[in-house]
Amino acid sequence: MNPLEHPHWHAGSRQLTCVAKQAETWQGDTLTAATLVLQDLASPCRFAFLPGQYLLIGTELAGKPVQRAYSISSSPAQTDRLAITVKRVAGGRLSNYLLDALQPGMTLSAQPPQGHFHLPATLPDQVVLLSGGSGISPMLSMTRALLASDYAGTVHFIHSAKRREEVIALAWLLDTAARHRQLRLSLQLSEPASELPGLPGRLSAETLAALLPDLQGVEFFLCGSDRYLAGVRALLAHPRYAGLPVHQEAFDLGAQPQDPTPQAQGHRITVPAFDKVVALQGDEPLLAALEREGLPIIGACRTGVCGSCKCRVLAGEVHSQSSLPLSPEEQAQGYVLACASRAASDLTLALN
Amino acid sequence: MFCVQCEHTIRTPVATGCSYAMGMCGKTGEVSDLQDVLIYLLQGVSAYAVAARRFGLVDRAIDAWSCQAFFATLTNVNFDAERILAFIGEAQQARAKLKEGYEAACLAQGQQPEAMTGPAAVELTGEKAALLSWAPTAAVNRGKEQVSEDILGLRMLCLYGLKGAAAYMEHARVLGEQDDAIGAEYHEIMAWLGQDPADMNELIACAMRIGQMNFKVMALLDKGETDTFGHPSPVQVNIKPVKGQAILVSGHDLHDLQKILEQTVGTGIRVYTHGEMLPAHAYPELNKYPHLVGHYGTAWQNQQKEFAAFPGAIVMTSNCIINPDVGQYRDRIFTRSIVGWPGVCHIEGDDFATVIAKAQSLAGFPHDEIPAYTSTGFARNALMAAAPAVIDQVKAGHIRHFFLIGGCDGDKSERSYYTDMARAVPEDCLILTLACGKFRFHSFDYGDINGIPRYLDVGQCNDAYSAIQLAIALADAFGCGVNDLPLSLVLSWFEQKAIVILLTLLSLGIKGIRVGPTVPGFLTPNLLAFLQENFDLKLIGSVEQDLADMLAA
Repeated sequence: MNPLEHPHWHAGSRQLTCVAKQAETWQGDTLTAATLVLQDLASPCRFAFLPGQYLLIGTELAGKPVQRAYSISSSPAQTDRLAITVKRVAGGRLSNYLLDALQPGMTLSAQPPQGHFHLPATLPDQVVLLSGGSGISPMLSMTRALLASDYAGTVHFIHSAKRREEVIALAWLLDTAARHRQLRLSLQLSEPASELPGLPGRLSAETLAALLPDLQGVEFFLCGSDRYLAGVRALLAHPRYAGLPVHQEAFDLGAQPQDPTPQAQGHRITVPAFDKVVALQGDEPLLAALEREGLPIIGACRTGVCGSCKCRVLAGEVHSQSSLPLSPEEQAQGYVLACASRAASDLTLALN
Repeated sequence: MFCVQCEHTIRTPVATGCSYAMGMCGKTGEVSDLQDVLIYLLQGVSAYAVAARRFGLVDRAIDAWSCQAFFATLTNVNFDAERILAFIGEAQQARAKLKEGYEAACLAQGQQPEAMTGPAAVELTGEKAALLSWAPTAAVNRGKEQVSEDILGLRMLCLYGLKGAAAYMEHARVLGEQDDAIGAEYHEIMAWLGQDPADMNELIACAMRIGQMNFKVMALLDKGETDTFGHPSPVQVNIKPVKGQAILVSGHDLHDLQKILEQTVGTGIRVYTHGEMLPAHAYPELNKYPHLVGHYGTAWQNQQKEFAAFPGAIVMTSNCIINPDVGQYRDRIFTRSIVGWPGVCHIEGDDFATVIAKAQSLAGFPHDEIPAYTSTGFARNALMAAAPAVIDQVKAGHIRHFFLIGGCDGDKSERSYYTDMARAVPEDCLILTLACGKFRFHSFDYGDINGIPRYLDVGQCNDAYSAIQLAIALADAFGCGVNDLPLSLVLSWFEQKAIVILLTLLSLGIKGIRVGPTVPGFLTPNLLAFLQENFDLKLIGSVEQDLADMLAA
């Protein structure tokens, strides 16, 4: 793909066209979950994200703007398009619109991929993915990425749902688990289906212990409703799991309105070394504003992994979604990643 | 873009290599893609250079130009899209010229010209947009759908190694040393890589051939340097500034330093070396200028702060340059030869009047600082002269072990390993060093062993040649192989010169080398395992354990 014609998308909103809509689950005649493949047809771009991150999707419903976060379910290896998987939510206006009304060819506005729930730079020996309901979406992206890489560890894919018919991407999961020994698939259903992999019944302390006999090098990744997460966190509170890293994403992000412009609006960045004052627009990361002003800063990965955009906060407060590549000393000195930090007040920055 | 040539490259959970809008070095996707196109065309140039040589046609200008252009794609050398575009245009002209000569020679001898394919045949316009849209065809990981990661990794090992060798060929040529046999070998390898070879054994053999070729290149460069500037002899170098206006010369090109020294005689300007230029102080023909007053700054990755504080003009003669806008000294930094940064003044030819005028317009250092010293100049001759004394001390049991701790620097915190290792080396052992990694530990006082300094700076990265000569001499004296000497090599890598030096050491059969701080991004686990099995190559671990293992070996 020509990078000149197809730039990497890292800032600003885009109009994405739904180029395919694939039914995932049905309840009777009602579509209850679907995967939407999105592409910018008007102004093609390359998508870059870390598996686990989400998109903010928006449209106008009844004359009012609506915006929700949806985890990306496709593989980051596919850069010209990406997919989100949407599940029907009671009262979820945007989700239900996407399922009922959106047709291929229609467009949605979107903000660049973001979010701190993603695979870490250094992969653990065992990745344990625990999801409930539509919390499965980021897990699909992570699994696709892990299996396509030279990751040699084990992926435990432990998904909870009410019944077989509600499991999103079931056919893909069964087929992939059959072909990849490193993928251990367990489906924990309230209404068990004996032919599916996994231990019978809902996820309990006993099933989790049985699924994870060896905890060497385990890291947990949790995604689901608040209720699901509370349940899993209770299981992980057992001393057996003490000290093991846990990453989590509340999928209720998808059901609850998210204000895209919190306190950040109107904040300014002062860069004394360059005698510049930069106005932040909306909730944009610091990097976007610094680049707009032509200040010299390297933004290589733009997802909080590589560390090229680190800069030092001399005064003010930021909210950072990632500080992965920063050492504890650097963090103590006030270094943050410009691509993964947003202003919570006016700021004074040093670029190097 | 896809670039994985340096140690700094992005490593995410799912992929290695800089493949977003910008590399970790600050190189834009556009420049990276244009460099891919340039390298592809250079492979086409080489294909015709090989064909023309069959008729005895050697174009020394194109041979020299090829290495310059290839060098421009080395890490931290040229970030200027316009310059790379110019190289691309020149590449097409060079290829056309060689093709014409080759086809005329065929015709004269009644032969049918060989039908060329791939990089030798591709026709491209000079339009940037068209070149960029075509760039994926030339990507260094092209063919990734057809061949395994191991094959891709080997191709890159060869390409990056050859790039390092081409850089040294250019350094030698600047000093008037150009060897047609080496030129022929370079073109053969470059043309062969342009055909996307996929045989693992052939690629491994090629990597070894590049290593051996580079040994000859380093010998040539050593000859160029010592013939032009004399044999280095050990010197103490002041690492603190002295009062007065100043020019700082960075990079590897001693020729440029000499021209600057000549042209600043009587101006009152003080000249300082930076980074890899430090060993220049040891060459008699450079050291003779009293206004070559010292060495300023530390390793390349600190330049944005150190150059910002330098109150004079700065000349970048080769790698490494990084964004001059961070420290806001764009108006007083100058590039030379293959180096480029968009909007930075580039000096063609050997007239440095612009640089001198800039230095004269600036304040310079206001006063002398209290001097502090480092040493350098323990190159081939000096080491050989010291060898009998060293051998005596070894036999008497006063010198237990030699450590060569060298290579390039970078800004990863893991690199503190090299500082810690140098400091932890026991007092009855010698430390040899070379290249810019030493700036992490050069300022300590290591003392001596019965008059033999414990810290011996051999020189620039290419002076690995001197270290190899010393190792061979010691092995002769002790009647053993180099691998049986009480000598351990602990190398740090950053860019492609280090890759080719590693290939040279491996091709000479040297085993048990430790490298770090990380595995090159293009080496797959299989390739690493191959190197570990066949060359006992080791990755750095903990200082304590590694030191114990090396002393016990």
